[in-house]
Order: sequence, then structure tokens, then C-alpha cells
Amino acid sequence: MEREVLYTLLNKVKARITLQRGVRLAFAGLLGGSAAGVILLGLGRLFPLLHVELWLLIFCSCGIGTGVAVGIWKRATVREAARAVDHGGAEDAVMTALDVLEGKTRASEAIVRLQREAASEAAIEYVDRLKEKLPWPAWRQWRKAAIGLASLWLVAAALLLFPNPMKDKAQAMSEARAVLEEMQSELEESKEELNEAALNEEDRLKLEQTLEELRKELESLGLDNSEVLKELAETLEKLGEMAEETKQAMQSLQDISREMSKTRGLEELGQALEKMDASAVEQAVDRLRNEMKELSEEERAQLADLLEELASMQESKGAEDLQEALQEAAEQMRNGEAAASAGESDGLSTLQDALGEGLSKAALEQLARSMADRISEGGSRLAEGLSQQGGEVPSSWTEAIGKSGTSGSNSGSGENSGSQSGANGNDGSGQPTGETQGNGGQTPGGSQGNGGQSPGQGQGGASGSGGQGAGSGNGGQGTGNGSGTGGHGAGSGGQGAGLGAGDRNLVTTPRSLEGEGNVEVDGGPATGGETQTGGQSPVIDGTTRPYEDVYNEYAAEAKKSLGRTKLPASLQDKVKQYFDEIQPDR
Amino acid sequence: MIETKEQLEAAASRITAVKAEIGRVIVGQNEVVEQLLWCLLAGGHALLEGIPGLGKTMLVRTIADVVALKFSRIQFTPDLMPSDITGTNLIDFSTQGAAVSRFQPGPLFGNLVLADEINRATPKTQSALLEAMQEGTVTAGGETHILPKPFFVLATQNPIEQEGTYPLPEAQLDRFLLKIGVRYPTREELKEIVVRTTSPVAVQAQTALDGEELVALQLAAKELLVSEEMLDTAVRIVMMTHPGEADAPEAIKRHVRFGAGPRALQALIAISKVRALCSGRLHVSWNDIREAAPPVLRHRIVLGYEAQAMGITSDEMSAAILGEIEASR
Repeated sequence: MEREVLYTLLNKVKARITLQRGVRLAFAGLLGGSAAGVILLGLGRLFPLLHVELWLLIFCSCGIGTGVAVGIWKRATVREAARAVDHGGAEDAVMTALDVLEGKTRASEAIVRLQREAASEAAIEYVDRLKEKLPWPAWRQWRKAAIGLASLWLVAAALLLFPNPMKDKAQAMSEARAVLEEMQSELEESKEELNEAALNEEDRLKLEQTLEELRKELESLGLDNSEVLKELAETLEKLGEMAEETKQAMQSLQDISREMSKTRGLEELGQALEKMDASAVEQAVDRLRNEMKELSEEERAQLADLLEELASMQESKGAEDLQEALQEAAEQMRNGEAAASAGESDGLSTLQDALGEGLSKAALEQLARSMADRISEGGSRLAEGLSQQGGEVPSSWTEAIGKSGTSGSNSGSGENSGSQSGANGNDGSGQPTGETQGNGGQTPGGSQGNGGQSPGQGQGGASGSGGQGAGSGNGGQGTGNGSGTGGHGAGSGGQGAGLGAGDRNLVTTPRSLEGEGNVEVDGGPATGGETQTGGQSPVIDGTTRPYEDVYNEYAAEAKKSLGRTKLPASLQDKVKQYFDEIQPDR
Repeated sequence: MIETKEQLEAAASRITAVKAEIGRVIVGQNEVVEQLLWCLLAGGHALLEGIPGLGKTMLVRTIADVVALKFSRIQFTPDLMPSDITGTNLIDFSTQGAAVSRFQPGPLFGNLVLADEINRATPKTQSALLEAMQEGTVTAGGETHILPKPFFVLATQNPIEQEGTYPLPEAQLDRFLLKIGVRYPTREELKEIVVRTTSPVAVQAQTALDGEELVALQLAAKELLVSEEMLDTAVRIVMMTHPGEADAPEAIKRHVRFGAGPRALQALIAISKVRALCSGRLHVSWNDIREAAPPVLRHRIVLGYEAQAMGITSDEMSAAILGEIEASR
């Protein structure tokens, strides 16, 4: 009984000691967490660190949590409680009683009983005055710690209130990291697309190798945006080269499909080619082979003539294999002889193989362009982030993006044409500058984003076969870049996006005097249109020049253009207003 | 044997009464009186050290009166022989002329023996006390004689007159449970001493405790409880007197040549128990150990030459040890 009484009393003392210890440790944890948080806030002003405010809260919470956890872990024991009671006036009676209870000390029964009674009495007296015996620390005991905590929070508040220049940089780095991760996943998706695409093995391996190299480089380079951009530029060039190599095959196929679609007897093959469906092509060729026997000699001659005409068209394009295949097919058509068996090779089967090869090349071109689009999009965001961090966008990237921007122009049918301008720093929106039919891609796919005092982001839409356009330019410290996708036939202009930041003192003009896009003269639709030929960009190659000079040149060119172009007065006013707004002395 | 709270209180009050009775004769010296009583109740011997005239002899005599023990006094001198204190065999001639050998007990055969100025006797004579103090027996002429119980040796020595003295060897010193320093009286005490000793009526102490009661109290003290923590503390104190001990205070490491032995630990616990009994407690507390430690360690800590030259005392060493333990509690 006495034993239970003693333990019950000691448990009360134990609970209070544990509570006080927990609070003390939690306070110490808060102090430590706050100190760590303030240090982190300070570091956040020296280095680009993300979410420092959140980390401050996390540190404080962790400090309190750790303090409480340690308090629970190191909770008071019964012996500690006994010692506290003994120190509180029991003169070691409780510890001695505990020793006897635990069998550590032996004595006669009477002595033990009397001693335990004395210990219990002392414990009861202590517990009755527990708050007095175990008081919370007086103010002077925790004054220093409280002042320290208050000071830390004052410093933290000051650091939080004053703007942190590193915050934007950290944000940009984070975005860059996200872009890189996104690019990695896009590369994986591209590889899957590659596996599903109807490509021959050689083309597939070539493209796959390029993507694999890029993936490895991205992994190894980490967050070095500048190097990543260089690597992306290299890959873009490779993809561009691949697309260029296969562009002719695509063009040839389109020509052939167009002609065949107009010709009776070859419509099905033409439509299959238009759909770029290899199996449909095979079926169409089989059907042609079967129908050939039923055609009259005159009809076969017409078809053979067409095939020969198509073959002759290939001569100028250098597609010798396709030319020979068409020639053989024409001969077979003229003779009216079909292969004896399905497995035997004849002119039509040669044509089928050649067309299949062409379809593979066309698919390769489409894939390469699609991948180039993805890479250029991600790269543009990286470049934007890099410029925000104050880094210099590698020239190889701007060159590569410029090239890739023009690369799509060839495939546009050019019903409408135009160039598009990238963002202008001033108002941040691009304006389509050409809506006339005919020539696409006279100007670089992405035009220069002018740096201005105010950063801007713009999108320029233009009709025509401006094609995939991407351009970038530096304006002072700002960087503008634009990207666009070209349309086939519909000729939607590329999106031009420019982001400029900097002042007007010096601007960097594009490196290329003129666009590298394929200049195509297009008759336009049957309704007619006006042919426009692009002029030279009024700039000097890739130099940093005074804004005033650049402005004067552009303004003069704009004035000249307005004079010779039949633009509505309202639009002319807008152009004038625009140049008024960006004049140097304004 | 204490079985009730009342018995405990009675024992404590009896001790208080003894102290009060001694106080009727002895002016001041409360600490010395208390420590002498601890020694008696613990069944040990005490060495009193003080300059002449402080009432050491009178104190011992008063205690003998109060406790009703057979008192004998030996004045130690350089020519004192061992047989002078232990006793000797005599030859008695009967009326028929036959010679019979008979042991004539010496002054040691008392309950309370005052060995006055013990350091004046030669080591040979001092050593004769060893057996009596440790074993409670005396051997003479090949025969061992048991000393009466209780047996206490209360020795005195003068610390200032060193010429013609023989300092007690360490082994002899270790047999004394306590070494009690007798201090000089205060002004008030001096006045009181003069008043009491120059008045025509001499105060005589009355018996407050007989031998049986003393033995009963001694047994009761031995039954008291000592917690594991207090035992550890006592051990730690003794261990800390050793200069080679890792947790010994810096002062001990610097000034002490040899520390206390196991008898010190026994003495510390025994005295602490007695002190607890005097306080009406059934267990030993830190306060008991802290109060008991200085007189227990005083003659057991051997200081180095440098420390002696610097006037450092073993009490300072004890204080250093106790201070460290107090801080760590």
C-alpha cells in the first residue's frame, strides 16, 4: 500500500518535471531552429536558394518538434522525481525508500516500514506544494533566451521584408531544373514515338543515337544551363540536318501524291501517299496491279505517261531511285505485264519499295522537326531563365534557334506568306507584318526581339509559310526570343515571343543580316494574291550598338516600307505610334 | 532495536540529553562534543587535537561522567613503557610462601580511556595501543586479556609542541575513527568559562546514559538504512582523496600524497548513520555524509611537503571534494 502511495506521488512529480523539461527543450529547439532559419535567410541573400521563408518555418517547427521529442524521450524517471523530492526537503528519504522497494538495500522490517512512512509523508508534503516546489523558471532565468529569440525573429522579419535579389535567380534556376526534367521526359516520349514510327532501321538508329546522346549530356551537365544550351544547339543542328536531308523526299512525295490524286486510276495511290500510310500504299499498288489487266491500252498509256512525267520531275530533285522506280512502273504499265506471282518483283513492286522509302524519309523529317520543336521550346525557356539569372546565352544557341526557325518554311504550301516579328520590349506583343500571299520565309523565321527598357513578352502571329520560326536577340541585357511553327499549306506563321530586359543604351542586333529560310515564290491561291519579296533586315551583323542608331535605322526602314505598302491608314498610324513610343529621347 | 517512531524519537532525545548534560560543564565546543558523541555511538576511538588549555581532558572526563563509564587516564610521556598501560604479570607470594603469577591490569582496562598527549610516548608504547584499539584485547605474558565493553580511547595531542614528541604513525592514526580539532573558545565562551571555573560552586555533570543504553544506541545506529546513492557518494568521496583518481579535484592531485583507505569509508558510513540517528532519521542523507567527512578524512589524507609548507590543511582538501560532489548533485 505504502509502495503504491509512494509511486503515485512520485508519478505526479515526474509528470511535472517531464512537462517542464519538454517546454524547456521545445523553447531551446525553437531558438535553435530560428537561428538556423535566420542563417538560411542570410545565405539566401548570397546564394540562390528557393523557398527560404518556408524553410524558416520548417526549421522552427522541427526545432520545437525535436525539443518535444527529446523531452518525451528523456522524460523524467521515478528516481529523478524521488531526487527532486529529496532535494526539496526530504533529505534522501524517498531515494532510500525506493532502494528498499527495489531490493537494493536491506534492513529490518520495522526500520523499513518506519522509513517508508517517513518518505511518504515527505512526498505528500512535497506534492501538496508541487507548484511551489517545482515552479516554472523565473523571468530572469529565461530572459536571455527570450531576448535572443526575439532578436532572431526581428532579424528574420527584416530579412523577409527587404527584397531579396537572389529570389528571382533562385526561381529561374528552379524553373530551369523543371525545364530540364521536362525535356528529359520529352526525350523519353520522343524515343517511344520513334519506335512506333514507320522508319527504316538506319534512320531510326541515327535519330535514336542523337536523342540518346542528348539525354546523356543533359544528365551529365546538370544545371549548367549555358552548357545545356550549347548541347541543345548541337542537337538542333543535327536534327535540322536530318530534316534537310529528307526534305526533298517529302517534297517529292507530296508532288507525286498531288499529281496521282488528280489522275484517274492512281487516285487511291495518291491518297495513300497523302496520308503517308505505307500499308495503304501497298494495297493501292496491289489493286493497280490487278486493275492494270482490265485497263485499255490507251488508259495504260495515259497512266504510263503520267508516271514517266513524274519520273522526269524527280530528275531535277535528285531522287534517282524514285525516278527509276517510276520509270520501271511506267514501262510495266505501258506493256501491261504483271508479275507472274505475288512474290515476284516487277516495276510496280519497285515503285512500292521506293515510295515506302520515301515515306520513311518523310516520317523521319516529321519526327526530326517535331523533336526540334520540343527541344527549341525547352531551350528557349532555359535561355530565358539563363538571361534572368544574368547569364549569357551562348551564341551557338541563338544561331541554332535561328536556323531551326527557318527550317520549316520549305514545307509550307505558301498560300499565305509573311514574316512575323518577335516580341518588342516595349509593349510585349508582336504584330504580324505580312499577310500577303506568295513568299514565305524571306525573313528569318524568328525576327529580332528588341530589347527595351521594359521587359515584354510578345507573340507574333503571321500567316503564310513563315514556317517554323524562332528567333532570338539580345537587347542590352535583355534577351528576346521567338519561336513559331510553320503550317503546311495553311501557312500559319510562327509564334514570336520576345522577352527583353535592359536599358536602351546598347542593344544587340541579330547576327544574320537575313533569314536563312528557304525563299519560295508561290503563286498563291487561285483567287490571286500579291507577291512580296522580303528585304534585308536593316541591321549590322551581331554587334552591340547604341540604341539610337538602331532605332534610326529601323524607323527609317519602317517609314520606307509604309510608303511603298498599301496599308490601311489605321495600321500605318499604329506603326508610327509604335516608333514614336520607342524613340530614344522619349 | 527501534520498532516504532516513538522509540526513534526517544533515542534521538536521549542523545540530545547527553549533549545538554555535557554542555552544562563544557562551555562551547558544541561541534567537538557532537563529534565525540558520534564517535562513542559508532563505537570508535577519537583523536582530539588542540593547543593546551582548551579543555580536552575535561571534556573527556565529563563524557565519562555523563555516560557512566569506567574512566581511566594515561598521561603519555617518553619514558612510558607498554606494560605501564597494558598491565603486567606480578608474582604474589602466598602465606605458605608459594609464588603465584598474577596479571595486574593496566589503565587500558577501562571503558573510557583518556590517552593524554599520546604523541609524547615512544612509538613502542604507542603501538601497544594498536591491539587494544583494534581488537579490544591486551596480550601480556603470553596471555590475551579482553578489555571491557564498551571500550573507547580518546587521545589528545598538542600540535604546536613538536620537540620531544613522536608523531603517530599512519597505521595508528587510521585506527582513530575521527580526528577532532578543538578550536579556541570565542569571547563569550571565554567569559563563561571564567565565570564557571572561578565560582565557588563547581558544576558536576550527571549521568544521562549508562553503558547498556549506549550499546543499544550503537546497535540502533547500525540498523539504519543507507541508500545506494549515498553509498556511491561515500565511495566517491573516499576515492576522490586519491591523487591518482581521474575525477579527483585538482587540489587533491596537486597537494595530496596518499588518500584515505577502506577504514575511512567504514568510518564515514558509521558516523553518518549515527548522525542520522541523532537527527531522528532512519536513513543516511547527503547532509550526514557531508558533515561526517571532514573529521573522518582529516587524519587520513596525507599531504605533500609542498602543501604542508604552504599551510594547506586536509580540511581544505575535504572541502574541495565535497564542493565538487555538491555541485554535481
